[in-house]
Amino acid sequence: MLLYHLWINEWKRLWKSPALLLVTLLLPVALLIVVGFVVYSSVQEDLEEVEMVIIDEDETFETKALINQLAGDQTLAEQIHFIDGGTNLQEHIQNPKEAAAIIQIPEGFTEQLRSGENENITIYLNDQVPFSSQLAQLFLESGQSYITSAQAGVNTVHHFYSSDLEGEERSDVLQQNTIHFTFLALGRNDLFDMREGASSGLLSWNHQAVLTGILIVYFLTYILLASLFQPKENHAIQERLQLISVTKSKQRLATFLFHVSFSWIYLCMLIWIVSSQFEAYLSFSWLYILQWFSLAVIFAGLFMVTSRLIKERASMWFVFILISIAFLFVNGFIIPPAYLPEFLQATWLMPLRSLYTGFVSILAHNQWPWVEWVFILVGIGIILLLNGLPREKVQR
Amino acid sequence: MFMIWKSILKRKTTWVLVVIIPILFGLVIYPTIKDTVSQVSVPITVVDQTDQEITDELLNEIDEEPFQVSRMDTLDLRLLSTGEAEAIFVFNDNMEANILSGQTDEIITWYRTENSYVDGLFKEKLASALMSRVVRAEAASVVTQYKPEADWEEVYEYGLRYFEPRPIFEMKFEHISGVEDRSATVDESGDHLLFILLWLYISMLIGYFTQFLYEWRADGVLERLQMVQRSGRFYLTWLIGVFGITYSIFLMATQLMEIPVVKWAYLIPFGTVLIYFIFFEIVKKKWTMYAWMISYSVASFVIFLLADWKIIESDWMYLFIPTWLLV
Repeated sequence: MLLYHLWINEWKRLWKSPALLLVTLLLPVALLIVVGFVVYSSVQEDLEEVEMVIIDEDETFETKALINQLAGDQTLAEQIHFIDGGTNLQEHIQNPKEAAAIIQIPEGFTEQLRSGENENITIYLNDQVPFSSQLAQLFLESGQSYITSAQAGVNTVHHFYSSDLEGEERSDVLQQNTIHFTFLALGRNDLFDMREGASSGLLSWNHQAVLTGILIVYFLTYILLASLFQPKENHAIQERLQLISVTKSKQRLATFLFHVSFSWIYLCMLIWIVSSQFEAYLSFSWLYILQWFSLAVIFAGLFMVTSRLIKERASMWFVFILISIAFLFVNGFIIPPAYLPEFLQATWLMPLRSLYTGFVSILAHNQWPWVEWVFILVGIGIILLLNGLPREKVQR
Repeated sequence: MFMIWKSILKRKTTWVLVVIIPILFGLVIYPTIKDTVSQVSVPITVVDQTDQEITDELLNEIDEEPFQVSRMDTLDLRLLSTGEAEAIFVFNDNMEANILSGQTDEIITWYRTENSYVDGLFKEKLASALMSRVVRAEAASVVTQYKPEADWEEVYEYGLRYFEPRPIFEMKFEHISGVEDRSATVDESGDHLLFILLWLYISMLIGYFTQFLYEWRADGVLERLQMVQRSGRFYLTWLIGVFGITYSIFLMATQLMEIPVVKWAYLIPFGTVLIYFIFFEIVKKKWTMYAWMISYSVASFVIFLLADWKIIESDWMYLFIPTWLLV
């Protein structure tokens, strides 16, 4: 009964400061929406049509074949468009407009390659469209090795065979080999027989993104709630509470229950809103909410134990945030678990990863995460036990 | 006036914020984070049932980062469903013979799942290493077809000169709006995230010291000092102390994190202390000041990241102090 009143009191303190409550609820959401919206719209706009201007100063059969091959390759990003930029490089550099990159093929390029000399093509990346210029760089870098392969084939045949020929025959054989080796090198996907299965131990991009988004909003909200509504340390009030048997342990337990109940309501609302607004990314499920709730209970428990063990507030907050982030990292919320260093993937850490693997069971395998829930319940039990342990009294 | 700092330093929290947390972060946490992040990798499994020599050669040629390649002699698809492997590449039993004879279609079976993220990058690296052999073998076949007297082996080996020591074809990347090297920019992004977190910490630290000014104002200490015309010296002592502490942490942390601090960036702690002080003079209520400063800090965090990603580029962004690093 006493615990119930303490818990109600925590809720009353929350309603007494509506402005702080509003900041707690809105600041993390606003932060995510503003950053997410600006980045998303910028990336979308940037990547809608990636343009690359080609300044072909060499204008040989080989350079034209190269451009045609790059433009027509199905394995490359479909949204890349090549534009013939004529020969005025300076004009394009001074005013690149929306072009992600300007590719300059210098005069004499083909001749140099034929003679086996290392010749650079200069790529001017337009930093004003950062995402598409980065995509352009990735795309062109992957092309380097294939162009080297193709040219190695052409040069080798030229050295041993076509260099002995003369006139039109020589140029015909060269052209024929250029086409042959370019096709061969760019047809790299034929080397692989790809088989894609549905069963995966990884979450899809969509699920991972939604998980991270909800986690950021929830974690920030929780930190604001726990810090802005932390009861003031007042010696006189504490003495009076001790008189009616309200121990520190009971106060912490009441705060724990308040955090847990607040989180339950908050997460239900948040997931309902996200699932109704982004149906394609997340469908509403009580199982999913329960898994989030178990994460909330763990956080509230960690906060309770940290404040039990460390009295000084700055240190307590430092340790709590550090442990929480380390816990999220080991779980795989920050970087998917498959990519974590080997020592963090050790079997003995499996119980600690229950929160993330629970989400994988629910989202990727459509199963109830029974084993994970057992581990989580054991974890909560340990936390409650730690809170209840009496503090050793120091004899003065 | 040194009494001011004596009373500040008497509090345990001051020592925790100024000494213990920065030392713990600098000596333990930051090196651990750096070490752990450097070990992040993508697990790839390569299956070679007949232990071929070419498998060793190909895997040696492929730059392992950011992949963690494990080699097995039997196919175990469960690795995909448990998430232990992002993708599995099964090499054909007679791969080298197939490459040399030009029968290169589907010589590798590539198992993946619809949730595999970056295995395509490994496929590209593998394809690139394979292709250097495929084209050389093809060139040798073409030459011996036209000139039967040519030595197939000699032609095959000759082609290697176009790949080593440097590939015959390379691209030189330049940036139009002044950034010299893209790889440097990518590295800096990670450092800049650490920098903005450092600034948030410094901002919080100054906020903590400003709380003493409010306490002394509430206790009437400042009023009494004004009466004896000593308030100027009082503020100066507070400012010198806070400047000293913030600059020490700022310079040591940027050195440790190897963030290049140039020109305007040196004024970042100065500007932050000044803005808190101005707010203290203007805003009478402590919590109102905190509300303003939290909003300013959050806005600065967002604006800094957007400016760092080059999403916004305007002069008004320099109203937010951390962006001075990007000048």
